Amino acid sequence: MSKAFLFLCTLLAIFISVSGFLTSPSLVQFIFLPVPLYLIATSVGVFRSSRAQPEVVLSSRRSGLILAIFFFSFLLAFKLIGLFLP
Amino acid sequence: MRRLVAYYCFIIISIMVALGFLGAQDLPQLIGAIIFYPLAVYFTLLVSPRRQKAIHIPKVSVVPVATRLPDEQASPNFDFDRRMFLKLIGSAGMSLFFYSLVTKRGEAAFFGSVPGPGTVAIKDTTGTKIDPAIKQPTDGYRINQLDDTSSATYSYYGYTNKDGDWFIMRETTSGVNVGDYRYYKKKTTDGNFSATWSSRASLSPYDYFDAIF
Repeated sequence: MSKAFLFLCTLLAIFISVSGFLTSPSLVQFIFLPVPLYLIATSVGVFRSSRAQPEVVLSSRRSGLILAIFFFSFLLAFKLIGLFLP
Repeated sequence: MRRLVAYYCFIIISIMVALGFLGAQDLPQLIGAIIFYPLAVYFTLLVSPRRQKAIHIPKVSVVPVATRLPDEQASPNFDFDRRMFLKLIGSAGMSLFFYSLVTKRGEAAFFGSVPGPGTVAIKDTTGTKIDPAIKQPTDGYRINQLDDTSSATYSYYGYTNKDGDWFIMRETTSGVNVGDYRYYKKKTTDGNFSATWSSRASLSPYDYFDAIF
């Protein structure tokens, strides 16, 4: 599960960075570049060795995850209400 | 070094998510912010300290002050990761604040439209930027009087503004020139609107908009 989450984050970061460079190739995009590079390096390290543990183990961070989901739900609901019920 | 990059990524992603959610004006921008959110969760979990005591407090027996050695007064076992995390959270908050001062739409730079510094621009349906501050020559005028009965050929529309300036628009309603609109604007020799309106048919010249204004 933790590896899948890491893989998902890596794909998202690559997607954001690549789409950013394609749509608006500017120096501002380089600010975000360390994020996909870091995640790619971490993913390669984790997936190359089957015994390697991801840096973020979700099973030991259950309270943090619940907090993140709660915070996300709050932000999303707040914004959706603002957008569709002005 | 790796830890430093992780903190940098955390700060950048936090700023992007905060700006994305707070500044989203429509559904696509909100989806962009949602895409960033798993990354924010990842890096937040990565840099947040694990559950442990910030300060290691060993069980010590009470020793009289006179016999206590100076190097025993402060324990070196502080959790420096937590200290660094708190410092970085503070610096991230400050960065977010200053970033919000510099640019109003920071997320737009990552989604294809780089905003100008402090410029308010409106686009028309073709995507061309238009200046909303352009003042039209007839701004401030309001319709004051209408006459479409006294003449078989023309209709007259009288407009005034709050300063007492006025102009009359004449519409040709019949004949070969039907649909023509001509204008007469108050001259310095003319009186006020109510005094001149009665002689609207004899005013001259009625001309094109660009010639009058």
